[in-house]
Amino acid sequence: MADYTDSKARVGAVYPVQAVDQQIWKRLEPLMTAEQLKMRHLFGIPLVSQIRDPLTNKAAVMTDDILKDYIVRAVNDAEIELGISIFPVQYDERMPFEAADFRMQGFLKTENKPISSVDRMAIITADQTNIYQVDPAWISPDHFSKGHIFLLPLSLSLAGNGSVQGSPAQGTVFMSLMAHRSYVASFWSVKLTAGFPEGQIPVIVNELIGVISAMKVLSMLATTYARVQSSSLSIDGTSQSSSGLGPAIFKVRLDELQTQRTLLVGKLRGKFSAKIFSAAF
Amino acid sequence: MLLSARPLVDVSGVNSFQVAEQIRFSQGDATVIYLQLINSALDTAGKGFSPAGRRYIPASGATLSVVLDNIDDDKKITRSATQPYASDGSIWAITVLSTDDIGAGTMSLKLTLTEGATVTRGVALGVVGIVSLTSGC
Repeated sequence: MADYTDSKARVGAVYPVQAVDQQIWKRLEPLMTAEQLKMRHLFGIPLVSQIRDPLTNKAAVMTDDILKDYIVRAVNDAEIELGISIFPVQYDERMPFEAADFRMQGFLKTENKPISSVDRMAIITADQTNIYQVDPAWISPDHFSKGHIFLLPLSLSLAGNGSVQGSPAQGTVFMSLMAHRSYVASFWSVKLTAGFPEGQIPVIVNELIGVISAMKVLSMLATTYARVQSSSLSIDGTSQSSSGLGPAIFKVRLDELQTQRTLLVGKLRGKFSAKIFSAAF
Repeated sequence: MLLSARPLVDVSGVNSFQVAEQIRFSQGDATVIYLQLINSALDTAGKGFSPAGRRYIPASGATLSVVLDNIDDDKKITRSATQPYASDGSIWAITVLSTDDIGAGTMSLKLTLTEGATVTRGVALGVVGIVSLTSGC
């Protein structure tokens, strides 16, 4: 049961990143439907098998329900390829304390992004005892889209805005650890929500989902064209030959989709992640 | 029995409706969502049925609770569905009010069907699409 009472929300939208207002334009939409998939990526392509069932002599048809299954699977593929969550998920990540990062205003890089909200940031022991909870007012949301969390202002005080959850003795032990160690594994516990709120998906992400779905569909259909690629008939001096593309019938379209897929994945990964982050101090 | 539901649009009677993939409306609009209960373990798409899933008529006196799912508990909406047509017990309706704070995006429905002592649960994935009027999230 996700509770957002004490959450630190992002500034502006998840997408367009940090947008606080905009003129009406379609940048977001619900998840693609089968009808939209056919319209956008499979226009004019008969979704019917070229091989008839030998028992019923009927050709299998790719119905909207089958396409919907392809879309659902494509969403999962897109999440893995992009390294982001598309539909909202609340995570509880454990991250190490690293002295170098902590000197950079408590910088933390999360596994899951784009962050929609940080719902709790705390120091939790190995037996899941919450001993120090960071005040949400300290958490800077400026780079949530890239999975970066900063603390502003930085303070090691046990009193004031931070709240000590356990006994003061427990807090003292951990604070002294910070002073003497450069690395403490699983020190921070960050409960965060990642993904596009309520499944309001950027059109460009829907585009990628559609491309992935279309590639799966065309690849499946192409197999049914494999039966005959060429045939010839000759009788006495007369002959006729014919040939077709066979399973390569959709190759050009598949190549175009692959190019588009590579481009979209690159652009979106650049939007929601940062490969290198450094600071001098 | 794998309970699910398919959305219906253009509903004017037990013999007059269209099966839709998704019911779409604008954020803030008051809408009646019509659903037809199905057993999605039968008449599957893999066997060539379209729409997939066999219509399911629950026992007389059954109740259906529908939750418009949201990761934020404050934005989850729970409604008791009604049967608008006595002659077709598979068709149910829920009302979304203009004052409901459910956000915009892609919503799934959680179904809880109670037939006497039997409780059956199911999910209808992504069947509601709410279009934002500002297109930001």
